[in-house]
Amino acid sequence: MNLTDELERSFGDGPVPRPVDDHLAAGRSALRRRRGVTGVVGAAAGAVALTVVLSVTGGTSPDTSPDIAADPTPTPTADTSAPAEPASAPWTDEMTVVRYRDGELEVRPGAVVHERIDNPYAYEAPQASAALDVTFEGRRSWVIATLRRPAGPSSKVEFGYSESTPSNGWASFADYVADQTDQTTGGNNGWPDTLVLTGSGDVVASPGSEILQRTDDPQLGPTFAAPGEPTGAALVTAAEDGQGYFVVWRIVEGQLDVIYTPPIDVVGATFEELLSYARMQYAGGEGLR
Amino acid sequence: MSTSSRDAEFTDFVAARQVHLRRIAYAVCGDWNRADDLLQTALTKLYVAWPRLHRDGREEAYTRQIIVRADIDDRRRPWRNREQVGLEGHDRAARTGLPPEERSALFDALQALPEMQRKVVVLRHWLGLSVAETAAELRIAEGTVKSHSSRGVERLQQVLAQH
Repeated sequence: MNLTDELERSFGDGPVPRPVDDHLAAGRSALRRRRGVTGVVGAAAGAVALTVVLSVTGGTSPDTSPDIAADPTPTPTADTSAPAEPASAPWTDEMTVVRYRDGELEVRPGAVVHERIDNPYAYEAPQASAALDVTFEGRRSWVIATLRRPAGPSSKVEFGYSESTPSNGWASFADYVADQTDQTTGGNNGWPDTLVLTGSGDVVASPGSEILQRTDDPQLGPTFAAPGEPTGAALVTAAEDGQGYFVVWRIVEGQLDVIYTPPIDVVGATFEELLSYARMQYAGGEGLR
Repeated sequence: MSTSSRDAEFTDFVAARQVHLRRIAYAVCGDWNRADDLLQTALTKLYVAWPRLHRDGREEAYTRQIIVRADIDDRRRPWRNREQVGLEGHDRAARTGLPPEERSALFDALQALPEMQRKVVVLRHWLGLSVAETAAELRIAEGTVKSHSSRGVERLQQVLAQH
C-alpha cells in the first residue's frame, strides 16, 4: 500500500485558498511592525489575515450582482452614479464580511458587529472607510473596509478590505485601528504601562502599578532573547486600568520590551501555567504577541 | 536583501508550495478555515525570517513546523478551553470540512484517529519524516512516535482494505 499517495489524494483542495498577495501583504505588515516596535526584536502580531482590493461595479447587471467582484482581477466597471440595486442584493462574494453599495456600508447578514469606527481614514465622499470588530460564523475579526478613488484620471472608486485576527499585538480594537490607519503611531500598541526600567538596569513596577508575582530569567529560550539579555515574567496590576496582566519582558540594547497577555487570557490560569504556556509558545516560534 | 528580492522569492515559494502546505494544515486540524489561519500564521512568520531561512534552504521545513506546532499549541491551552467556552466573540470557528460526499474513507479514518496519532501518521507516512524528525517536530519521545505510527497505520490499512 502506498499510503503517501493515498493520503495526498484523500485531502482534496477545499475552498479557494487565499491569494498569494494576501500572504505577501501579511508578511510585509508583520515585518514593518516588528521593525517599528523596537527596531531590533519587537515581535509583530503577524495576524493580518486578508487584504484585498476589489473593483466596484455600478450594480447595473440584471442579475442583481453585488458591488464587490468575486475575483480581484479587474472587471468591467461602471460609474458609481449608476442606478442603485435593491438593498437585499445577495451576497455572492464569500471573502468579505462587509461591502459598500452606493457608498453605504453593508454588513453581511448574520454577522454580529461588536464595535464600529466610522471613517478612520477621514476620507471625503464619495470615498469612505470603516473599521469593524465583527463575528461571523463563529469567527471574530477586526476588519477595515475602504472605498477609494485611486490617483489618476479614473473616476471609479475601489473597494479595499483587510481583516485581522484579534491579537495581543494590540491592546484593543481601537488601538488596532489607530495603528493601521496612522503609520506615524507605529509601535503604540495601547497596553498600559506596568513596568519601567530604572537607571541601574532593574525592572520595577511603574508608578501605581503592582507586581503580584514575578520571576526573573524565566527560561523562555533563544527565540525570546539572546543569551545574556535580561528577561523576566510577572503578574502585574496596571495603575491605569486596575486590570491584571501576565507579562514577559526582555531588555534589548538598553530598551525594555514588555509583551502582554490580556486579562481575559489570564483568568483561571496559575502563574506556573502561564509560564509554561509562554515557554511553549516561544519554543514553538509562536511567541505571545 | 532588498525588499523586492525578498518579495519575489517569497511569492514564488508560496505560489509553488501553498497547495501542499495548506493540505498539511488541513491534515493536522481537519478544518479548512483553521487550516487557512494556520498557514497564514506560518507564512507570515516565514516572510519575517525569510533571508535566513531561504539562505539555509529551510523554508518549507520551517513553515511545516510552525503549522504543526501552532495547531498543537492552540489545543494545549487548558485555561482557554476552561474559561472561554460560550464567551461572546470567542466561539470556536464552525467546522468547515469537506461535505460528506466529497470526503474519502481514508480521510475520514485519518480524522478519526486520536490527535497525536493523526499527526504522527501525517508526518511519518505522508511527509516522509524519520522517527527522530517526527519526535522532534511533535516534541514527543521516539518510542511514542513508533507506537502511534504502528496503531495509526494499522487502522488506515484496515480502512483501505475495505475499499
